[in-house]
Amino acid sequence: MPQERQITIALAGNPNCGKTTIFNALTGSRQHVGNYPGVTVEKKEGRMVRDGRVIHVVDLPGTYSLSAYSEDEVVARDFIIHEKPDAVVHVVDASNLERNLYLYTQLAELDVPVILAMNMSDMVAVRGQRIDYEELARLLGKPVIPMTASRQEGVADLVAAIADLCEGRIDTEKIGVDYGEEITAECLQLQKMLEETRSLKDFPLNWLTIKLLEHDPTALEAVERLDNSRQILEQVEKSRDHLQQHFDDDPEVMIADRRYGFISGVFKQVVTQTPQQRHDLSEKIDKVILNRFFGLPIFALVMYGIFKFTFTFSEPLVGWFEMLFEKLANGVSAVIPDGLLQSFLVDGVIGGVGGVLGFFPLVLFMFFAIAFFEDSGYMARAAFVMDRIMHKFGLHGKSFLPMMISTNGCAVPGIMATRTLDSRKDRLITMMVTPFMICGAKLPIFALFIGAFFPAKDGANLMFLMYGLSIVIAFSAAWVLKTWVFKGETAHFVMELPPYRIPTIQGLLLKMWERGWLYLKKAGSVILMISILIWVGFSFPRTTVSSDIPQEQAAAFRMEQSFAGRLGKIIEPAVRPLGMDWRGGVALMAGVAAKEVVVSTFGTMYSLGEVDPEEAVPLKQALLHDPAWSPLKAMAFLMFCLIYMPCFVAMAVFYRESGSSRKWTVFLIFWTTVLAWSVSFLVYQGGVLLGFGG
Amino acid sequence: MMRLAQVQQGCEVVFISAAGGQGMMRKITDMGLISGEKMKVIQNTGHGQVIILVKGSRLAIGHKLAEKIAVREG
Repeated sequence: MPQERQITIALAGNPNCGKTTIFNALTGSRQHVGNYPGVTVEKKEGRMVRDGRVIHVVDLPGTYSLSAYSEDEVVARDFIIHEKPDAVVHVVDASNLERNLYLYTQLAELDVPVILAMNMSDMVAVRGQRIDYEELARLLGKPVIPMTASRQEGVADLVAAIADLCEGRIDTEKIGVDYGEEITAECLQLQKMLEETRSLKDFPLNWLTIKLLEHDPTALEAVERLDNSRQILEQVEKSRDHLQQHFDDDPEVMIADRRYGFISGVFKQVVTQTPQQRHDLSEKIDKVILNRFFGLPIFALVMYGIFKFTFTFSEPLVGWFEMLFEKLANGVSAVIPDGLLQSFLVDGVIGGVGGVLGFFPLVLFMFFAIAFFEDSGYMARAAFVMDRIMHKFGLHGKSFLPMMISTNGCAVPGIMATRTLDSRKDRLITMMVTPFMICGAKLPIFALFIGAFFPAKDGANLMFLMYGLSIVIAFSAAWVLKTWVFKGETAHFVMELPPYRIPTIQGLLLKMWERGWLYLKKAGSVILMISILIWVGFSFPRTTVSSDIPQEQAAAFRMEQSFAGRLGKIIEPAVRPLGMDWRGGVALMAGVAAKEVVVSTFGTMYSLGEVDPEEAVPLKQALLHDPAWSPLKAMAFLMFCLIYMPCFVAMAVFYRESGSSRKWTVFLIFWTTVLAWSVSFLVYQGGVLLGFGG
Repeated sequence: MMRLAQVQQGCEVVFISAAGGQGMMRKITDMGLISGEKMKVIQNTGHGQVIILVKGSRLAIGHKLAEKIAVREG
């Protein structure tokens, strides 16, 4: 084998079996791991080096089988079939062997060598079982590597096995399911017909034939493209009819039956139940947490706990950060003389980016709290608890996960996570409403305005209310979509509940830091760039103001005469009825680039408006003392921010994930913005009518 | 024969069949629900949502699906 040849291995396995942990262990990268299904929805690629040789590692989305029922399963299956990796490492949750081997029965039918990585082997004894790994290797004819990837155990063995397999030092035998005489006979007949067609060489034939008998949509589609498709499809129907008569049951049911039969045989031979009775704590916890009466209140309490924790503990730090940037701005003003450079640094860079970075501690605490919630295994429970309610609104229990992911950080992975949804209708509805959630980028806007206009002691409660409101809006929007746009039944809810795990501090900190780092990186790159653009927009063209005008008015006049000011004046009539002046309009428009920019734009505007740069006040104070704002106006503004169109990146991902649908992307932009305007209008005008002040 | 949604907490039952389209059937087959499969209802929330123990792991089943699954006492 020539040394230069690129070797690719793929990691496949059920959701939540620890694939990503193994991927990280092999490649040294740090991808997210979570104790809920659907963490990986897109294949992730990394590389490892072994004996001076680079091996490409691909982490595939978790699947229970290769029937390609939902989008993430399609990704996994297409990769194995079409990209033909040199080996597939089938990651098995050893403590859940029976269910995990179902995927094996299908992997074994593909023409690809398989290694079984028996992960979480430390949990086997806890569950009262003992596995004879050697016997398993013998029965399946494949290398079997027991491991506990979370503690790095067995990783070296797996690496060695991968290297051995790739270099041909070990062989794998093809031992798969025996489907019995009748089914095998029909398969052979089909196979003979297919062998004559060369254009199908992409597909392993024995896999394709069994899939055809199962009426698998992708397999049927592949055959439809052939010249002799009619004959083959006729034969498929004939075979299915024959099997139907013979077994008095659907062929796909019989085929699944044989697979499970095979697994059950293997399972009985390799697993001994130890007399020690399995003591299942998860079951006991679920009795309380999923209780018919307490389930929802507990969920609300958990969410409330997250906000209380985040706000209470981050408050002093946020104050400290604010002070830091204030000192920095004052210091720069003292060192650099008045003029464009000073304005650029103080108003553009520190005013803009500093406004966003000031909330860094808050975002970190939020990420920490939500990481706890993810790693514990509560996510899947929350989806289940919410399923009933979500059904009423045209959503699916699983829609809850994308919405939470959006709340954790960003609508982009949120929209991607809708791939785990089985029906396209459910998926589109969820994608349409996921951007309503308050993501990490919108959080600073809320923290800024709530912090400025409402007493500190109400901060956490108001924030909780805002999150509640985002859920109400998302649900109502879903209901509207379900009733008028996407009609039809919602897919059914069936989800495996992972055992509860106590999150490790190390794991939580790592996750918090990774997401926090992204926030910092974004602030230092995209937000910085946009802040500079905004500063340019507000600083040019430079107008000279006669010196008799008071400085304060002169600054305001200059801003109004700038490019951004003139643009703001054009859009002002549109935002006037919402209680905003042109500055709010400009901030909202800029926020489409990235939502943090709403905050940075205000930072720049208020910094520019200051008379004495050496006495900069924090942005919160500046907003509070600006007569153009009031608590009611702040609320109306926040409503607009909550609902209006997603940022560019989210829109781009929406476009791609909706199957490049221009229609739905344009629809998304319009309906969110129209809805935002209407709600904001109602809040402001209603507030004025009720006497809450202008 | 009865519906899974009606099975009391703690009872062991045997899966008979489910009424639904091909897509749904494939999904539940992939999750280990096949004819003759024994399962234990660990929890029934009373709203028709159930948690079953099948093939060594816990599955949460929504109320709509639990209504469509026919089981018998095992």
